[in-house]
Amino acid sequence: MTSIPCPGWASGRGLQPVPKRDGVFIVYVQEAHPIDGWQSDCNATEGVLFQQHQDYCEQEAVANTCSLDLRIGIPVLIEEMDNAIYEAYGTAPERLYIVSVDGKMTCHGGAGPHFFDVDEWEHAIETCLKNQASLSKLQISNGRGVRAAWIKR
Amino acid sequence: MDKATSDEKVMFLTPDVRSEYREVISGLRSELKAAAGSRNSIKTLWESRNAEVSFEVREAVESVIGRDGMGPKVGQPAVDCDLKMMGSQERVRLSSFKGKRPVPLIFGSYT
Repeated sequence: MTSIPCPGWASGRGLQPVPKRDGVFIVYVQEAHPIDGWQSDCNATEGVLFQQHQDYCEQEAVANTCSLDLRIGIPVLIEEMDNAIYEAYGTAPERLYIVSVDGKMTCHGGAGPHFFDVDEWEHAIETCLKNQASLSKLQISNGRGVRAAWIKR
Repeated sequence: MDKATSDEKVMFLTPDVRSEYREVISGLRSELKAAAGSRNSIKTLWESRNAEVSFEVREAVESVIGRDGMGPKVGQPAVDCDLKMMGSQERVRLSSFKGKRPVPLIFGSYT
């Protein structure tokens, strides 16, 4: 059985453009292509061979291996074994989002790997940070809260 | 559709059908790139193409499109979570950043 190469995490390409800033998080979820499920050819070639996590400790251990191998400098959060966040965010197998300062979604990235658009996501982050910078100035100048000003924009 | 069901739509395709599936997805992705800013209309784009493809390919493509539409949309409240930071006992609650700063999130796994 062959499968479709998943050009994302195993090669690290999906992570290269991610800016190394505070407040950016990776949420490590269940394996997309475990050896006991839909294993991909590229993972077999590259030796990225993991079974689906059997418990939380195993999930964290694989996340740690991933982080070390791909030299990820971004904080990694570990999903619970109920996969609730995985389901809520339609994660499989990879997905990019941005939550704005008002707690609402400001970027809903396409489902990876087919509709995974790092450029779009990076542009959205830059826009978000520019908006936040201008809001901080606004807050100083008129004394209103950042959240209220953000919503009014 | 859960992960296992969605995966099955693609993982059991024969090589020939899988090749056709890849071509369709590739074409769809190119069209979406060309129509910058309309990424959220993948379903509409797919339906408007009325592509003549096999049942298996249609099922697989529509499985991917269905997955693309999942998750909170722009303007909707983020689904809150409280997750442990890898390698420490610290926990991070997404809603704790509300009113403070935007939070970019990357979901994925090694494989």
